[in-house]
Amino acid sequence: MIPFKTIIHALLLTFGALFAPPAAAQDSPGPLRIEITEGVIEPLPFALPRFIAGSGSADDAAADITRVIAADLTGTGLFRELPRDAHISSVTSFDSPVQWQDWQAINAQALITGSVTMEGGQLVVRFRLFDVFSEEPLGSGMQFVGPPDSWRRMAHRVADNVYQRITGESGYFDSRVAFVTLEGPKNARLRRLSIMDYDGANLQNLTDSRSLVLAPRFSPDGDSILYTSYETGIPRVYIMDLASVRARPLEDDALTMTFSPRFSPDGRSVIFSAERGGNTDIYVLNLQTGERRRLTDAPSIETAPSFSPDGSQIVFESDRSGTQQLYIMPAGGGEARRISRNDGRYGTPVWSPRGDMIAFTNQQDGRFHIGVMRIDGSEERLLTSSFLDEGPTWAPNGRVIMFTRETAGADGAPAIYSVDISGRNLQRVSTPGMASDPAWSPLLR
Amino acid sequence: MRRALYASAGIHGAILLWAVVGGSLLSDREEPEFEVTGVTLISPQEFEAMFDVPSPAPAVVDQPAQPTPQQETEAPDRPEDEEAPPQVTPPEPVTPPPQENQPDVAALMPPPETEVQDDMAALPSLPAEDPDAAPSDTPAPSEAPRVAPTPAPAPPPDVDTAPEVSPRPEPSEAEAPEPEAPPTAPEEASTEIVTEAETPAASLAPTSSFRPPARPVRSVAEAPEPDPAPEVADRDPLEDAIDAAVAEAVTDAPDPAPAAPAGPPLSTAQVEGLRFAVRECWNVGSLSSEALRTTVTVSVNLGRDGRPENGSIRMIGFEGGSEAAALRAFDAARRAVIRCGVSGYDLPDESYEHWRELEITFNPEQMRLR
Repeated sequence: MIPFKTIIHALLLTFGALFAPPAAAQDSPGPLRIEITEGVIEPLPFALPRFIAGSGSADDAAADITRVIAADLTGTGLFRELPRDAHISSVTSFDSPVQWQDWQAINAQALITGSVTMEGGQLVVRFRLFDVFSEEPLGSGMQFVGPPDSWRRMAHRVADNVYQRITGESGYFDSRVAFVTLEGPKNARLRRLSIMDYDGANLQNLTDSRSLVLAPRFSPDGDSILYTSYETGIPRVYIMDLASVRARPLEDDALTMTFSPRFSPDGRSVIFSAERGGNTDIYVLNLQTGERRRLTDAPSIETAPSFSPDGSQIVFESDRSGTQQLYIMPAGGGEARRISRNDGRYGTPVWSPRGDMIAFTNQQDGRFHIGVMRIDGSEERLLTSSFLDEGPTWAPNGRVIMFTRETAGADGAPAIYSVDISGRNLQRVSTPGMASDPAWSPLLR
Repeated sequence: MRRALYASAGIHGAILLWAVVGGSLLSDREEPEFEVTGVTLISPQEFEAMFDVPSPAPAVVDQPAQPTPQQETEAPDRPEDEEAPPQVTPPEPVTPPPQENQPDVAALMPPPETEVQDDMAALPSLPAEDPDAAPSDTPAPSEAPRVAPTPAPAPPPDVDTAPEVSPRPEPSEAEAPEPEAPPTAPEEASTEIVTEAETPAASLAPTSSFRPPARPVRSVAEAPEPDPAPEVADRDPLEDAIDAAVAEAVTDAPDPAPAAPAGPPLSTAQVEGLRFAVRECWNVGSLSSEALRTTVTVSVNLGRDGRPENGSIRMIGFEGGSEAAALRAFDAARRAVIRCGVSGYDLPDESYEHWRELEITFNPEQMRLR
């Protein structure tokens, strides 16, 4: 029920606005000053003419690179490619002048031009980015040189640069995702550790399917991964060198269940959960010295730890209050403060690479959500909702989150999805079959 | 009386109608979207069979509930949480994997590295399309004057050079033979009126009529040639006092501002129209979250046709974010100003002096919350 005072107030305002004499908006000399507080949120339309091939041998690469750049940018949900048949101008040379009016006429706000040539057995990719309506280049031109089979990486790097110049934050296209591929019926699933480009290309399986594997996690340099395997019958943390695809147990203690590992930001230690005497606590292992140190000492279950990017704090989940909630404690252990305050149960917290947000899994009213909150627990937002959403992982730039979504029913199957931290642009990540447990790598070097 | 009665009845009726149906109409409460999911009841045995986790041993029933690591690490309160932790038991026999389930590679080749050249110095710069346009290789915005390009008229020297504060003229002293300044104001006013009547509409605006005339200060009295106007002597003392008071009030007003622009000022509706036109093109969809926390103020000069002069657009201030974020926010603001002004903003020509220079503050706070 609207209070009567509110009604009277609204009426007075309405009558006042209707019958008040038109006020002069600019009584004082000087510039006319206005403030805009509302705009539109739409993908930025860009034009991407096919990159110019410097020779016949580069023709296919030019087409492929152009296609991957367009897919990278449009896949973010922040950009929209204008169809090529709508282009008025055709770019015939990388150095030809830009016909601004032609691109403005089709409302292209950004223009990407480029060329692909073969020089000395190396692929050379050049590109330029223009702000069409300002009729100015956005940054300087750039070129990449690499072996011909690296064309996809070079395309990702072009897209990363375009993304960064327009949005102001680094891109995430030149990265990979480790995950678990699944095969077989629901009661006899075979799981393998796999790795692919962020967009699903270049898929490779890292393990066989004899052992149950879970939850891979990249090292800060992207050269190795941690994961949990049931190879010995109990869950144990393994570390795999990606160059040699060789794995070894993180510790020699074969009788202790260890799981939920993550690297520290400097890569010198690993934090994980271990079960001893019926209690689960968080430990940190120095990879150089092998020293293992216990960080929590409570009768409750503490697990899913994740370092802050500066390595000074750890966020983890605990049921010490009776339900699973999120807590933050100093990296060396000590008093923890609870940061999750709303309804439901919280788990699998992951600190954003930017350090300002924490992604988590939330369960309430029988549904699962992926959400984000500030590190003090404020500004919590649930980004997704489904029968089962879990296990978020951040893109290298902290803008996008991947997670596992499983459908309900006997035929339910897990798949990997991504969502922008604004909650927009939810989409399924391309994988050849069932997939779960994504872990996003840092940007490749 | 009846009109008041009718008006009262009408307003009350509107209030009641709004109170009854307005709440539901105005309510912007959006119901969350529901996703209907079929639920199937299954037995615990069936549920366990869905997951290939080693079966729990009954001996640990009396122990506190422990996480099943497979699920604890991935989601809170999965149904498996209620189970006892898996024991150190041999894993269930796994069906021998088919040949294709072997790892793909014995050694994972790292992605090929690429060499990056940022400067592109070897590439020729694009020629400018318009030979008359300024060179495009100087992206730095030109330094535009921060103040109005037309210099403000210098204040009357007698105001600035008054050596000391003059006494407030008293009506009773009007009879004094000393000359007074008020004659100046009526003369100017009279001149303005005549000019207005004889000049076209463009000069109708009082350009400098509010400029304070000479104050009845002693300096005037000490002028070498006191030339009292003859009509002053016949003025009413009360009229003189009013003139003096008006002159004093105008003199006390902030004076250093330049003269008011010519032409009628923009109405609120016209300003709102301009605001609406710009915001239609202000697209923040591709901005970073930091840029969405950055408010930028942009200065732009408009031509008489309402089109923005692209070279004049510059950022004159920002707050809330880093400089890099401000630059990206400025890019979006500049695109908005140019795009929606490509056909010229709909602004009255007679008020051109009022909107020739424009300062727009782009505050994305509300956009960030969407």
